[in-house]
Amino acid sequence: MGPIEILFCTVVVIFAFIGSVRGAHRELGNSIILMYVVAILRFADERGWIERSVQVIRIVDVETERINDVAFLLVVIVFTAVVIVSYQGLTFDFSTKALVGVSGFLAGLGVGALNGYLIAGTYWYYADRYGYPFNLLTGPLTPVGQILLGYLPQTIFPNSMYWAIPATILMILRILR
Amino acid sequence: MTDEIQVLIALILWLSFFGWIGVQRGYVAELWLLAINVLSWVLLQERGDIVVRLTNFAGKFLALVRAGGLTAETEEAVRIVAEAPNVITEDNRQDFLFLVWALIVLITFILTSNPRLVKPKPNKSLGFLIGAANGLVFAALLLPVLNNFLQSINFQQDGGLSRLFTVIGSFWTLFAETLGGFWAWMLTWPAGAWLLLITALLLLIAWPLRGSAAGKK
Repeated sequence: MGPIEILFCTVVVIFAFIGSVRGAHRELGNSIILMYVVAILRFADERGWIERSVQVIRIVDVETERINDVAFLLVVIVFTAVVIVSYQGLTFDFSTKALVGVSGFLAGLGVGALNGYLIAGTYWYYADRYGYPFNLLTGPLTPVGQILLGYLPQTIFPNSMYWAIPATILMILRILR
Repeated sequence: MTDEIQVLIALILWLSFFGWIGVQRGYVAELWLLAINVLSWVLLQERGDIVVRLTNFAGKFLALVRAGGLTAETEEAVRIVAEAPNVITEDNRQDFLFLVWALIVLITFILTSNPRLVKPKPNKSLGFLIGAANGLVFAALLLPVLNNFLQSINFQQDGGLSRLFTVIGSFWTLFAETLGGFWAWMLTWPAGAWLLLITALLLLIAWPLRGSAAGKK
């Protein structure tokens, strides 16, 4: 397998194309949810709530050195569940009105790419945060990968609650008619 | 075929293309574009210092805000402003003014293409003529810039196809290098600038979608 940043960029590109097909009016609804989830997960992480919840759940008797693996698994399960729910079935669409033409395509592409960045970036951040459990990374990170680590959704802002600002503005726009 | 005939044919093709755009957009829109195109170029060449100074002033003000100078003592604020480097220097002045002119032309083109702002009047020949005049102005302003670049290309082989690929490859390299430089500059942005950019882009997309209740899939 190639460097992790190739996988990251591939996911972003795939989501960008999904966004161009679904349309910005649908993708923006997912963006709102994903931005809030990124903020909440990081908020919980900063306070050590994820590790604490691993101790509290105690589904298996976790050895001390495997706490990182289980914590990563927990974050992945919660985040994946949110992503699936936000995309599947009745979705939280931003609007019924669709943007058409080239601008609509580009808007869908852009918002889809943002969603891909939020999703792939979150997985990457927590994989890095918990030391790449389950042999997710076998070699050292490339210089590009090390640079990109500083620009993941959880690291681009000093505080992940920054993501709540655009999410809240979009939410207000959605509610106001 | 002599060089003069080649130049003439190229010019006719160039002017015909702009004339055709003029027919599509209408002569009123083309007239506005021509006027703003020429006027903004002349003003930027003659009075470009005003725009440069305003931009440098804005740059120094931003530096003052970022250094927390708004709440600092007067002497400290003066020191921050004095030490902040100029955004536009003599080295990049011409590039900056060209960029400003290009932006003015682009915005004018977009605005005058909107039939709600400029009503298209059906006069094909006038549209063609003013469109061709615009083409002439663009040729006079843009071709010297392109020519500087084309002269810097080192052609290794004489074959027609290889020359074409060399030119396209050089344009691609220029584009990729500029994009790379821009990306490297973006990576130096503070978190607040990223937040503003993301929020602004999302608002730009979401704004035309507001007002309709979201429904089911």
